[in-house]
Amino acid sequence: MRAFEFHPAHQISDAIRSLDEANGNARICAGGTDLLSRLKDDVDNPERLVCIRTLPDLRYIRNDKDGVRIGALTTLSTIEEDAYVQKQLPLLHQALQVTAAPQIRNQATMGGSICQRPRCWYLRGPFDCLRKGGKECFAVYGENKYHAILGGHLCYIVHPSDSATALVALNASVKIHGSKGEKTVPIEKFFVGPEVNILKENILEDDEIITEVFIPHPAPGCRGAFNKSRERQSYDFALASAAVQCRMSRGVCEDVRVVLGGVAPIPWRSREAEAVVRGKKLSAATIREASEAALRNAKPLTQNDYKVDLTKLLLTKSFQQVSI
Amino acid sequence: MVDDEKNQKPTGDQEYEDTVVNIEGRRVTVRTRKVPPLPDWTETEIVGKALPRVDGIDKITGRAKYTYDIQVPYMLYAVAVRSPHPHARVKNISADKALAAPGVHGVMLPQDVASYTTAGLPLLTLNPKYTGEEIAVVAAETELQAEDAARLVKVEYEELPFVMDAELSKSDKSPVKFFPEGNFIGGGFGRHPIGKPSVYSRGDVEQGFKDSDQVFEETFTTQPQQHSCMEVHGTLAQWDDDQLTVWESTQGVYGVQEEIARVFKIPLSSIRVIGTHMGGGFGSKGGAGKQTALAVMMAKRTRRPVKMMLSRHEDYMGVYRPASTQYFKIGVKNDGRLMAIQLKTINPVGAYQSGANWGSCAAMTTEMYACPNVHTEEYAVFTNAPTPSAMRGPGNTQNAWGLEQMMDLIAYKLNLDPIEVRNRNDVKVDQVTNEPYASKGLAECYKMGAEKFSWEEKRRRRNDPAGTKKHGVGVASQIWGGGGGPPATAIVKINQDGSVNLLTGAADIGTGTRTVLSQICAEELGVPVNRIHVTNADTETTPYTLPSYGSITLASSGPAVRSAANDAKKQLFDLAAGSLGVKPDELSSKDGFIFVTRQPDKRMKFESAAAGMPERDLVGRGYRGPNPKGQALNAFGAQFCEVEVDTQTGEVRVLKFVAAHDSGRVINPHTFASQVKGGITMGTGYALSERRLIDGNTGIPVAASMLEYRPPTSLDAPIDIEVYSVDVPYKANNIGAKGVGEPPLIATAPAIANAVFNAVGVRIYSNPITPEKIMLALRDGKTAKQTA
Repeated sequence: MRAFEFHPAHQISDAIRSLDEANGNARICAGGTDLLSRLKDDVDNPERLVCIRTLPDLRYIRNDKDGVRIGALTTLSTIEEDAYVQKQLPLLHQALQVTAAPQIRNQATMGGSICQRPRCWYLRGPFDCLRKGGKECFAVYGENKYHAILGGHLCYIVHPSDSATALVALNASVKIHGSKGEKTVPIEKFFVGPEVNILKENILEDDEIITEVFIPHPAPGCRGAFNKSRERQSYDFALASAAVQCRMSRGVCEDVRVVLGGVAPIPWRSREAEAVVRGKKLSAATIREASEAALRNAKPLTQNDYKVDLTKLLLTKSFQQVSI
Repeated sequence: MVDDEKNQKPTGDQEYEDTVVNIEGRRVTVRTRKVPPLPDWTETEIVGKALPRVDGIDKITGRAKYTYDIQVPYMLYAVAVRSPHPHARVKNISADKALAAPGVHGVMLPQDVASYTTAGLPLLTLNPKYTGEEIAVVAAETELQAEDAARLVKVEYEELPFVMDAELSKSDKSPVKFFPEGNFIGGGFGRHPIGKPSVYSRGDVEQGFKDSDQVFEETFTTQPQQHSCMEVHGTLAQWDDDQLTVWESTQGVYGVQEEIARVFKIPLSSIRVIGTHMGGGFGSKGGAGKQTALAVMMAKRTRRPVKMMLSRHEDYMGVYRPASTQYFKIGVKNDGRLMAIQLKTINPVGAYQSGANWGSCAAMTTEMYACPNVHTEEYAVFTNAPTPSAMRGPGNTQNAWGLEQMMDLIAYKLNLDPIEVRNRNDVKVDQVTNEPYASKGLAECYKMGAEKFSWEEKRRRRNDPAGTKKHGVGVASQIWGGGGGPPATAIVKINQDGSVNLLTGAADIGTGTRTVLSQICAEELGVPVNRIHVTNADTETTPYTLPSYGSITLASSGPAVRSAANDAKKQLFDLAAGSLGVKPDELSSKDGFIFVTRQPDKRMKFESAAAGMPERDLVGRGYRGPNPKGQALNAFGAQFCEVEVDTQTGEVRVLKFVAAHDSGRVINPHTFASQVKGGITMGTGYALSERRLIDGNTGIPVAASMLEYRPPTSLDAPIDIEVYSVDVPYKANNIGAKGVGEPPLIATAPAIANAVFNAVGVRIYSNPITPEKIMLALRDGKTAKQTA
């Protein structure tokens, strides 16, 4: 690990100023579970760490009339254990239960979780790859078993965050503070694919921090399900995952959001699958058709076509669970 | 130094003889003194008891100090500069900036160490042959300063062509020529010419195939496996004038001491190596590593103690069990008898010749089952990868993946119980040496294991055809050495208060050596185990022992400890006999008392006898005697496994393991069971998740972390493991025990593969059995032959 300046921030404005001063050479340190491994692996070498764990008031789960507000420093295990989340947001609860290991969930934060960098071993190894400003993606002709089958564009990373997949399905939004003030963006707009920016996975600027995640109350009749497959059963990133959040009325799917994880550079919303099921009963045939539709445009690389079948299966399971 | 050493003629009246020791599958002849036999233990008080580990509290409270923990004043940290390329030539190298960096005390470059090699490898090189090979070493006051300075060593490389694929390397299209004679050599120990495979043959395989009713041909592959020791490799070296002290995380302090003496040409008496507590070796810490020699040299150069511990990442870029491809052809009669086995193996062994020692895996095929006609051919192929090392059950663990699946496949083809096929090919004689097994409890392992597992009943169960979770059961067997042998010496010192010091050179690599040797010592002396204080693995205070490899520790040092305790006891009996008014040979000891054997109430406390010692203490010496002539010493076992396979996701859960092992007498059921459970856990990783991976296009490792390599966590270990010993009497040494360190890993992975086949009817020929392999095999019959 290389030397860096350590700036503990005691107010959001301190943190933003400290980030701003560093001109892109600072990183935000919250739980540190992802950041420290990047520093130790020498794939990220910031001059400064702005520690926001010292900020007051960013650890909360608050219910108001619109929805639930989760402070950016709230740990994943706190959210997982929250009674409202367990009851009203089963999709998020299921996702958190299979995220990382308990020790990591005790440390990792809401904001950090959705800002994790991809696990691509070329990105995290001594390879001068496109996402690091280099000239090629080593995965295309290399070891790409864990890489993207959807949404790849020159770069084939997959977004690593289970909670991001869940939050897109739940139509969450993200509150961001920066030098230019405060803004709230729908989480879907927060993530960007390589066709928009090949160096970053989201819109967060160098001087910005996430302060809150907002999840609207699900409408009555809403159901959610999250299914994930992983290679090592105790803890592992997703080979693929599928989140379905669905409002059912007399057996008919009135509204739905379908999001796939582990298969694309961003949490992958499948409007194709949504279009198939919207306004229909979730019969076996409709579910099959929707799962096929979700993967119709999949373009597997040399070693990952298994992800197509696996994702269909996980999506089918999630649909089945919300249809019961 | 065991290998090829010409032995001195005996002098005096001590009698010596040659004996054979089986170490990691190679038979080494050593000269050893004859040792007076001791009577067999019949009833034991302490041996055989499930006592807690003598150092358990120290370990769980963190009091036990490992090499990693040791700090000494003025200590520097050394970090290596490593090649970023799989094959290159260093054109220029400059240490000026690094030397000027804060806290830096020394930099060593290849020219500084050019005359030294360890285990046939250069310490530092100008011609790196794999990514991660050491180019230079930097020492600084903190680890971070050393890392920073290492990045300031300026190295200009000329990149050279490289080859990662063994088949390509072996062919005439290889872009790299490692030797003029070719890119491969015979695998295994011994001197093999480059460009020729190593061959073993008996009988006539062609005739055997003609005489067979059916012939099966299959190819299996195994991935490289990493040791994943909890403590990484590392050394702390400190010079005081000409006296060197080395703390090393090692399986054998004497091996390290000998290597340092050889490399630096200094007397053994000047080198003290300490390795009392160490965090796992699994074959990767058999002797001195490059970091040992580099730390020693850097300490000399900087006049400061130098610690060089590898990082986890460096550890995962280092030594490993080599991969294998195994081409099997087996001919059988319809009743299941094997008529002929032909096996060709390809084993990529990195860029240096010494790696070829581990580039062999056919031995199990030549020994395990009765077969008159066997031909094996082994290729150790050079590639631009790191040099492999021994790893727990080297060779047999790879080979069992193929052989034990072949036996399973044959059983299904012939519609026989897999145990029946194995029993029909049982053999009482080592077919390679023609020596009878001193004891072989394999049939008992099948019987006991099958019964405890409910094998018959579970095999009859049928899965619901409509269900997506299928249960399956499988069995596999193993053979390994584990007979141990000399040299191993022990010293037992009785103090005037009746407390006892046991001194043994043996390492405790996590197996419980300190505990079981204390039990043996206590049993022989007839005192409670808490009277014994064991000091181990320190060349200055404990006597010579071979390293803890090849599952030899217990069966080597155990008998020496018993002999030493017996020697001390006899001396104490000489003193006690007078007080009790009998002859020494009329005495026995038990529970802390010395008593007249025929009149047990005539007795005295052990410590009372000790209080009468004129010299205030007495010292017993014990040596490991020779192994019996003309007998094969092997440990056996059978493992039964139940899995649940999700036919949709391809995920495998290991539900149950029953392991029945023949290791002779069990000294401590707890440590025995933890060896077996540890082996099964490691085998579960080998079977299901572990994958060492080097990117073929760049020659750079991509899975060099615990996250990406995926060793099992405690949650991934089989849910339920039952461990049994079949307790077949074994008389080849004076404690009646065989080793059990390596055997439990060997059968695990094929047992799981066989259970997966039983569950879903597809056979997975390459490990690890990942979800996607099962999914693809179930979807696409081409990649997996349906046989059930």
